[in-house]
Amino acid sequence: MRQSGILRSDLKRIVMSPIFWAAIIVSMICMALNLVNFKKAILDQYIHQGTLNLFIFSAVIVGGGMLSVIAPVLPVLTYGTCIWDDMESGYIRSILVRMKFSKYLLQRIVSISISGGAVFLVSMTLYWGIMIFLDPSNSPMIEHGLASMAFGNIYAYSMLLYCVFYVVLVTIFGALQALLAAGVSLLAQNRYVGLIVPAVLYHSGRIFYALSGYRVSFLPWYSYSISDAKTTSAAVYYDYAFYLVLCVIVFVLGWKRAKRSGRL
Amino acid sequence: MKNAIELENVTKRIGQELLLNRINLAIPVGQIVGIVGQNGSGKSMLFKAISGLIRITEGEVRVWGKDVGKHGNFPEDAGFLIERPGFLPHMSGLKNLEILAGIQKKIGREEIKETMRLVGLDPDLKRSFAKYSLGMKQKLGIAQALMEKPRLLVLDEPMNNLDEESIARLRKILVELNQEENVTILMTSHDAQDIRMLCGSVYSIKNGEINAM
Repeated sequence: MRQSGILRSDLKRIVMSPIFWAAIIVSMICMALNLVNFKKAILDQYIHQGTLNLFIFSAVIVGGGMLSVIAPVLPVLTYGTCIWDDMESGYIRSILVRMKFSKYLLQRIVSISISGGAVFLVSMTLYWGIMIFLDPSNSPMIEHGLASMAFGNIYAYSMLLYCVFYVVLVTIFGALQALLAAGVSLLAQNRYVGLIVPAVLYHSGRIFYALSGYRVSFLPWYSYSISDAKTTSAAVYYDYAFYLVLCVIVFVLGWKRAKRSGRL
Repeated sequence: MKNAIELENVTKRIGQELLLNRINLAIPVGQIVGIVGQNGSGKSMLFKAISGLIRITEGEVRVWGKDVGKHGNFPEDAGFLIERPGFLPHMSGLKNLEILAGIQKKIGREEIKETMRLVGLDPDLKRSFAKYSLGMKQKLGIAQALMEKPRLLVLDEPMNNLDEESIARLRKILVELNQEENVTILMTSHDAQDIRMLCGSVYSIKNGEINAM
């Protein structure tokens, strides 16, 4: 039997979602605010240093400002709890009599990841695009500590590549955050808990770090903090691996609990 | 093929509770079969087993000769209405059905609209599903089951929340589908009149056990 499943309609729903675009705009405003504050602080030194520096300053270095506070919430809003929403409404029954369980889960995981990752991918790409109009000159490499931090070798090799790599990392963070929301909403059997808990986990990791001195930080902004000169590329990968394992465990437990709940 | 649905020793147990107890049932092609039973007797669980939504503890479920429920298999060429109709609350009825129709791509927008009109819904109504009345929600659930023109319909309390006119309309639709297109129908109803009028054979289910009436 020919089947296209739900992925195509999911992607359409994501792109058409006002929440998706609102999250993108909020993300861009946060980065722009960083730039404005930054300009006030050290205007002369950096403002006319080219597109890449503008992007790095506002999205990477001072990305630990408002963006890091709100970023854990943005990727989960569009589609993070969609599996639980399907179950709670009973819509899942109409879907699962038309397609295999495994295919449904796989396609939902893909669309949840895309919805979460795309918030940052689109907002950062658009923001980067706007920076080109602000100051299109070549960006000289400025000494602000990045070369000695995580992925400093990439920065030293090419600022452009570094920016692309950073956007990819943040995109993956968005995808993981949304997947965690999916798992938590299933486990708690509540969409609002699913929306809030990933952000609480992210920030509690930061608080734990601040209190204990141990490095339990959910990526990306904390690991990238300019003040944390000890951050290494390996630490960033560990963070991602930890987050991925957490997502898988929570999702599997959540799916089992949701199936047992008799909502199918 | 002789039977549309075949159940052999179907048992469903959750913990210590026995919800379906060694059910054997064959629904011949082209018949309308009714199942009656009180709330909690196991009707919905039986329908969920037939639809492949739950994994049965023991036994075999076959729809059109193919195993259902094993390896996530779902029944082909079948339309289901199980328990309350569930849809995405913020979307219109048409949009909800379009998403479901997009899964198998058997039908297009015009066929969906045609089915909505058939059950008495306005496909151009922009109202979201959340703002539908109970009767409209039920009609949308029925449209969802009918729209892909399946050879088998499994309908759990299809007359729920419908007014007299809509009940008469649905009875007529079901009879026409059965007589003109040889659609096999398995349904439950609280209303003895529905069962008497529509069903060629009737079974009762009690405490997860099924018996012919």
